[in-house]
Amino acid sequence: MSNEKKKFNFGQFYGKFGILIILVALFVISAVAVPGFLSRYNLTSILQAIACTTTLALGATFVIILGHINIAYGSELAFIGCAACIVDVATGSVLPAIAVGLILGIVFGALNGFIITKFAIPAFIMTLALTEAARGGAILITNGKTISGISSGFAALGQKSIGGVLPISVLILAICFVVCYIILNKTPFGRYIYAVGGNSKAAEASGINPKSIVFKAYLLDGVLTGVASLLLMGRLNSGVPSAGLTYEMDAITAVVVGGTSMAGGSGTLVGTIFGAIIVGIINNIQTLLGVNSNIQRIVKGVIIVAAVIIDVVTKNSAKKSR
Amino acid sequence: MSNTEFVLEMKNVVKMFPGVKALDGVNLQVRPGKVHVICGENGAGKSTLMKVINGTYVADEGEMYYKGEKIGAHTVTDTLNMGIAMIYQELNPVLEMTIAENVWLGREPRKGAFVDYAKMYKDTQDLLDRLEIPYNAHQKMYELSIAGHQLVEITKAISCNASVIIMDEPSSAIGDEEIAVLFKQIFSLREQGVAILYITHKMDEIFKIADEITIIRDGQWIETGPASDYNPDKLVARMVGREITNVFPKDTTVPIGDVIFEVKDLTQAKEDGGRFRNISFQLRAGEILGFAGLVGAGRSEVMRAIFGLDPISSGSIYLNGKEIRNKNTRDAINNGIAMVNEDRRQYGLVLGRSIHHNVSLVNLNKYTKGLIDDKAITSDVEEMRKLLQIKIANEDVEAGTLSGGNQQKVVLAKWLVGDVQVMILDEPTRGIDVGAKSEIHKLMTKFARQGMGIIMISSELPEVLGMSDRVVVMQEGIIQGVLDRSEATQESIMKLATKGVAK
Repeated sequence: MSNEKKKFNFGQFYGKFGILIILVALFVISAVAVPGFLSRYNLTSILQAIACTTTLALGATFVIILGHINIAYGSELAFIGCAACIVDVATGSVLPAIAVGLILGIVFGALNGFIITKFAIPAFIMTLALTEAARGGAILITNGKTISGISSGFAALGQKSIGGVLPISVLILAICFVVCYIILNKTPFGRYIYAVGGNSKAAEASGINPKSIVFKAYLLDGVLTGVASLLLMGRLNSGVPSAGLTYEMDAITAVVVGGTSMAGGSGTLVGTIFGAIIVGIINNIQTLLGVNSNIQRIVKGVIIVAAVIIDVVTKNSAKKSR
Repeated sequence: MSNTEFVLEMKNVVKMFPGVKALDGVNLQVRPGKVHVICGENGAGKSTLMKVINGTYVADEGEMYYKGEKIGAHTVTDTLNMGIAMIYQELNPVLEMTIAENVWLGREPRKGAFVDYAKMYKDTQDLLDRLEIPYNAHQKMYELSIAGHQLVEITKAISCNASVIIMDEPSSAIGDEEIAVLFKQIFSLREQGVAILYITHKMDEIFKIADEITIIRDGQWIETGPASDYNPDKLVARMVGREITNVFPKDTTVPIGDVIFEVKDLTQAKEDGGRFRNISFQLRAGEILGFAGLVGAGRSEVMRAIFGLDPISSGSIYLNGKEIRNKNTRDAINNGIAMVNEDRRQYGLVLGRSIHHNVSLVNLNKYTKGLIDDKAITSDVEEMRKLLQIKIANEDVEAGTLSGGNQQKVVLAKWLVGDVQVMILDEPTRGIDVGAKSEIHKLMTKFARQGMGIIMISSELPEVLGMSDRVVVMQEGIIQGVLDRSEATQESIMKLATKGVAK
């Protein structure tokens, strides 16, 4: 093997460590400049605040590496979460609610995957339609009212901490991450995700059924959406049919900031987690500094575009060096 | 001022890419009304030189003269306006638009603020008629073949009043009949005083059309001379800097065993594509079965269907005497069939992924015991790197960064880490340089010796003749004949390939 001396290339360097560097820099600056940032309470609350959308972002990473998209998360959260709350209130127990949440997540995932692969409908259109339909469904099953009086077990999912240190929601996110990480990096299915997203024709010519991979990825995305629904409603302490609005934006932002290409074929879950934490910290310091919430949304918009510009520019510079 | 004997002159061109000197002092002198062929192995710098000329790249050093005038920094638009047009290796026509719209894309004739469609279609039709290209300017691009797209590109070049037309491997994706049409165009352009800069890997072509030849090797200018000074052996020797004694290392001592694979009456009905009918042939262990025919004869389509990529309407396939059915590619692979597609970049590799991932893609299950055993993959990749002599820095390199020959070896490696009984190779050496080509031919012989049955589709007759034990000749979706090695000649194959199909 050749021992060519490698010239320093910013693009390649950034591709590997850029997100981490930005995260560390942001953390240090916030710690120094923003009063109250470094408190244990605040740090915990950042993680708790991003637990739901980051769980979504894990699923979104699979879908986006495939070159697909899901923009229905917000409405899916509302429908699944409200349905789970209704079951919880009716049975007085969180276990049936969890079961319903996961099953409905799988049902939504299967529905997305089936229609997108069977009829070759663009994922954007299908999930746009689901955004409308699921939101309508959420309002229908709740009569437009908040479902209150959920069990303490359900609320614990979103609010309680183990030993007062580790929030249950963050623990659940961590478990989801580990499972997803193994699936994406250490199983054939995960490798096929990259292959189909990178070049679907070559994948098919290598014995892979691209449609089946897409379908399974949406199933996984659905399971994670089910989990996220439970975390959200637990945190809200009730089933809120209008909940989850624009959560799909937070999830997709985390994935994109984390370096996953919308064109498909590349991306990492570690990047997504870093992306989610970066977005979480930026939201948090703005709140701490009392920045108007509408300005916060503008900042979020800027971050998305900046992240993609950096991604495109660095990828080009990495390519040119070959 | 430079010598006006030349329409285009490049002096001492140097082009650096980070870490590589792609061009290192290249000279080029192009005379009007001549076909000037640039020869060199893949990676020699031919395409880079063309891109420097047309302004895609900016040279780091060197001078360019056009019609005697020195040309400074220039863009693609500048060169096109000056009269230098380039027809790229991979064309990107707008398929949904008409021929005329493609020819005038970006420089549509105007009437005030609007496109003057009447003039556009009339001018285009006039050009097509003048060039004797039998198309209607209103035809949509998707109705045309790749060869047709090239003719439209030529029309476009002429419409710019180009006095230099660069053609980068225009014949690599078209068949002999279309090549003849292309050459006719080139000859008539030459008569009109247009200079043609032509890049190709095909020997026979070079000697058919070249007036002058410039040879570059490893980014360096080697020599320029009239085509009559060369013969194929000398040319290859100058290109690679070494003598290649045997271009086709066919080993006729490889034992031919029993029939391992048989296809009976395979037909694809109209509703499934209708690309072939009544296809029957046998393949023996250790045999290399060539498939010859003009482009569009349905050879690739038959193989795609056998491999489970396209549907089969009727007929049967037998492996070792047992009937098999390949509903999809996975079935075919599990039955020990491998297929190296003609379009490497589309069907062979996931270009953005590493060698490690590409090589293991087909047989991931083999490496998976619960989780993927990446160490086992790495050791197999290393074994393949040695066996196939793949030139890579390490296995984490993206497949898209490799040269054509190395990419093809990675595709082969992808199949060879599994168990293959029948290897289908569709244009295995297309776009690959002479050195790597002969390596791939040697590997084919090696696989055959191991008892594999090999089906090789090739549009290069010398390759078919050189490598095949028997040659199946197809035309318009049917098999016109099967020739033994002893009876196969260029003439006997072409006769069958153009026989005329009874309908």
